[in-house]
Amino acid sequence: MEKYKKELNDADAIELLHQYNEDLLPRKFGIIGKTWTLFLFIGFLTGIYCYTNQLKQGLVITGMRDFVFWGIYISNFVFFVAISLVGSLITAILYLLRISWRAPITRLSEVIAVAAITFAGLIIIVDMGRPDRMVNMILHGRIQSPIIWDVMVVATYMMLSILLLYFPLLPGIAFCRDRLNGIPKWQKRMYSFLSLGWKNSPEQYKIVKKAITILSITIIPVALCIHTVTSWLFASTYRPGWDSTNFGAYFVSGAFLVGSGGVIAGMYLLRRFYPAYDKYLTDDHFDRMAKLMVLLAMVYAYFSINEYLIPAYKMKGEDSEHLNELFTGYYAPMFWSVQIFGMIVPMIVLLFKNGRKPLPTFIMAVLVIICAWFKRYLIVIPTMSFLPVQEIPEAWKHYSPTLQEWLITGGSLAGALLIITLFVRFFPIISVWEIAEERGISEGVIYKHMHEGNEK
Amino acid sequence: MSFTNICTKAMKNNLLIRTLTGNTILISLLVGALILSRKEAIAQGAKDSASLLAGQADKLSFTMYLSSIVSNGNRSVKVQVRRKENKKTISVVNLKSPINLYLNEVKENNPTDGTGWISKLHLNHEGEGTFEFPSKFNKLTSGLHEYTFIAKMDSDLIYKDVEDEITISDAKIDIEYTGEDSIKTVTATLSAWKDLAYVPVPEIEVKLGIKRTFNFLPFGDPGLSTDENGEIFGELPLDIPGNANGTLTIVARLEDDETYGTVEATADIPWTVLPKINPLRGRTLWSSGDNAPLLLVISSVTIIVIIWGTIIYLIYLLFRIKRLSKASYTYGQK
Amino acid sequence: MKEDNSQDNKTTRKDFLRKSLLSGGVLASGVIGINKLIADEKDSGEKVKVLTADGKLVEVDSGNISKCQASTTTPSSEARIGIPGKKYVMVIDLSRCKHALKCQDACQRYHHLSGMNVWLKVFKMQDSENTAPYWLPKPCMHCDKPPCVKVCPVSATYKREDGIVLVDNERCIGCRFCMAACPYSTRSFNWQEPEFLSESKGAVYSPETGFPQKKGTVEKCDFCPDMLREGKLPHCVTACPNGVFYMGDLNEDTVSNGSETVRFSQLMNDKGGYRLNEILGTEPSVYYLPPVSRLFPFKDAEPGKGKMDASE
Repeated sequence: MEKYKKELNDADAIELLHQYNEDLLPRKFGIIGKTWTLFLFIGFLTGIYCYTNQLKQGLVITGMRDFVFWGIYISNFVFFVAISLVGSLITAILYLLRISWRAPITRLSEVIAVAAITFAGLIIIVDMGRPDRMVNMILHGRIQSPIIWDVMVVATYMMLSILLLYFPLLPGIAFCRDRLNGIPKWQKRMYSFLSLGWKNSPEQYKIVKKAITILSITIIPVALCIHTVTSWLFASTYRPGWDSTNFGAYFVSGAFLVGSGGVIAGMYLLRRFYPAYDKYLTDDHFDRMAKLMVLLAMVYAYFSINEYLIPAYKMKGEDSEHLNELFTGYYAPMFWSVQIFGMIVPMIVLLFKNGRKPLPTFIMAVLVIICAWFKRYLIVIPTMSFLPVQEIPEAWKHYSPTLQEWLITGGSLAGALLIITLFVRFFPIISVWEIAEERGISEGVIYKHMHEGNEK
Repeated sequence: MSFTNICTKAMKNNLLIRTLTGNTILISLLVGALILSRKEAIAQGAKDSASLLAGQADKLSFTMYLSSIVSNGNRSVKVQVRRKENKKTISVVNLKSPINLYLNEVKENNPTDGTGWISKLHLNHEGEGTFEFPSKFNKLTSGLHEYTFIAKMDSDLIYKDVEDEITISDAKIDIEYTGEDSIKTVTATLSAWKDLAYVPVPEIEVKLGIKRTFNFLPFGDPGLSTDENGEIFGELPLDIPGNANGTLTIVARLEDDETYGTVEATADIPWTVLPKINPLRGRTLWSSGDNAPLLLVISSVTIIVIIWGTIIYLIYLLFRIKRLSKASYTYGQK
Repeated sequence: MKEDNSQDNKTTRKDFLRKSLLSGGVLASGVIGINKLIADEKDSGEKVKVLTADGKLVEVDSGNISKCQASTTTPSSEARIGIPGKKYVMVIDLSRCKHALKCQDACQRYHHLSGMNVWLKVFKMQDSENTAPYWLPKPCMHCDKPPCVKVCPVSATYKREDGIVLVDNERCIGCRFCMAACPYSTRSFNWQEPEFLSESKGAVYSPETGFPQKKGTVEKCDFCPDMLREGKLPHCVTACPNGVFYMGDLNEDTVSNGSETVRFSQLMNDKGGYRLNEILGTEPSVYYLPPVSRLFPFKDAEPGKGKMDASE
């Protein structure tokens, strides 16, 4: 987009603005969209149904027992928290660094963040043995407990992410309110309510920009905190594999990597199903995101090496059992696939110019996401299955999640995707005024003509 | 007219019929109750065999064990019921039918000297039944000096031959303490009633101990017997912690003697070594929520206030936007 | 007229007496009769499985069961304070342990533990190839710096003044963080509704008994504070036939295993006592006496012995 840095005269700017508005209005779903939404709904409801089973019978319906008592609910929780850091990465960090190409993808990343952090909060409740006593955390909470820190940080981050999504969205909602035709009454009312009567005045824009700046500054330390505190849920114990000083940095770097993968995947899918979007989510964007992902993968590789190499050098008693299981034992296939396909292969492929085209980038991003989920599994479960043990039933020695456990976890993933899908359905996923600004259209033109369409 | 109508009409009109009917009902109910209560008595015995597998119809062979304990002059009698099962002897618990305790003779209680039936004992959940002599009873029987206790389960036909009998002679222990400088000794004297007075008893093993939370800690030389004066000596360890109130509780005990039963005496002696006091915990990481370390509280509250203060300010900004929308403004104005 | 009146009065009085007698009799016999009827119905009713005092599982008519409830259950608020002045310690003599598992049986029985929850595990330990194997009973260590208490978000597990660490199952939210934090892996979780729920009808929950258990909460060895309050030794101590467990008050410097009572400092001195995982700084309250001068030669356990050998 920098290629178009030449000054636009007002007439051209207005036409460009109208073009943006035309292209980026949220549309009704076609058959694919409807099927996809239905599929997600069914997945989510199945999860809810299995959860009611769990409430009735207890956590016995999972594969967890006294030996491995934290399973895929917890690893899924860590995964969600990791992905939710992408909001702060793209929207906040790149904004403060005045990196302008972030403009089209900022809202997408923020939606992913909000969806992920919401379901992180929900899946951790699913893991509780007595969710009916949740209020005890407020009444009898102990500030010394890392779980209380985690609850506070997740709540704070959720608030900040929602605000960081909402403020820049206001002009977009107002546009939907004004220019979307043929929509049901409830939708129109929703837009009017949410838009706070947005009138495109300069004062309002000023407030929004101020809010974005404040939020960007605030959300970065909170985002770092949230994943560090989540890592402390493990690092505050004595178990081999968790008793590590490296965990905070290790988790945060992994989070940024998987977050960038999530955004790239979202970008590609949007382009695929909304062909008009390739004007805004250009190949150049993929190229730059791919480079960003390579950088993040290198940082993650650095912390991973720190995490595994030095304990392997020492081979302390407890650590040696755990590391042997990871490197050459029961978990070796998963461990090596995750390292290779989740970190090394994307890093190498994306180093090449042809590797940074949209399709290969998308494939690498998907690989990164899937391997990241299994990486979280490898963080949580092998330490729990720390052998040798005695006097436990054979079935307890290796944890395998039950069907209902998978369905509940799948339900949470479906729910997060559902939030993103519904958002794309009802709100503009690309921020018009931000890309207009980035394009060089003057503020005055934006304010005046933002809500106009191509009157044909 | 229907049968009921006739009946009710007859009932209403005839007082005699009513009276007869009422009486019949009353009598039949009482008889029924009697029959049912009899049934319960028979079932009673069956309930006692609760610990056998359903279907087993062996006769139960119970044996009873009586023991007498005197503690600082207060006497009590303990009874245990045991039975054999698969060559093992185990205690019976929760026996429904009571055990009757008699003093000297099996007959009605004699209020003048306290002999005869003295108590009904029930076994507790550990299989023991205890009768502690109340102080009045102690006084009443203080002239006896030799007690024969008989326990029978004679309120039930099945168990009428389960009984035990023991004869106990009166004995007591006195404790004396000498604590000069670096040597602290305890002397316990065992004496039994003979003819008209308490006479020291030689050559009987008496144990000395310090009363602790569980059991008592023996001190002095082990396995000592009383000398010709009925005395036994023990030297106390100087550094043993005592009670919180500056005393040490000493116990002298004659255990399970054939003639005297169990005789025990305790005494509190002054002691300077106090027990350690549990330290006050204060603010630690493992205290309750309101006793958290100060640094943690201050830093976390500060961070929360700053961040949530910012969030509140941002929400206020949203309201500002809304207010600005209400102000009149049309497109095109700057 | 007067005669008529008196006659009427006499009749009414007679009537009244008769009626009251009748109704009283009906009431009394009704009550007795109904009670007996109910009792008899229970007698002929269903069988219930119960554990006898010596650990056998038998079937008994449900009417023959008389509920035996502890006379007092300590309320949660008092259970948080503890028994004043005491500091309980346990000493486990590894030279005497023969893997008889009577301690585990007693613990399971008296705490009505169901499912695969075992509070007192006995492990075969062999520290290295050239060192000898021995049996290690492992209760909760009741650490003085408990990592489990540090991480509990709701203060459901707490350390009392008398050194005991308890779990309040009415406050526990089931997050299982304490299970992760414990370096001795001593805690277990109620994954489903506990089995002996029918026995618990009418039982009042107290953290000191831990009964009735609650689904979705964590539990562990509690040093039997209900027994300690009565001045009695915990069940594992009394059940062991070889005198492996000693229990006592550190402030009194005395421990007892039921038959022997010795000074704690002397026991540590003479037999070289130590604690597990001392280097972690958790400061456990359970001391171990090393397996020297063994009472029994070491023999591997027979398969199938022990609660945990059954596969699910």
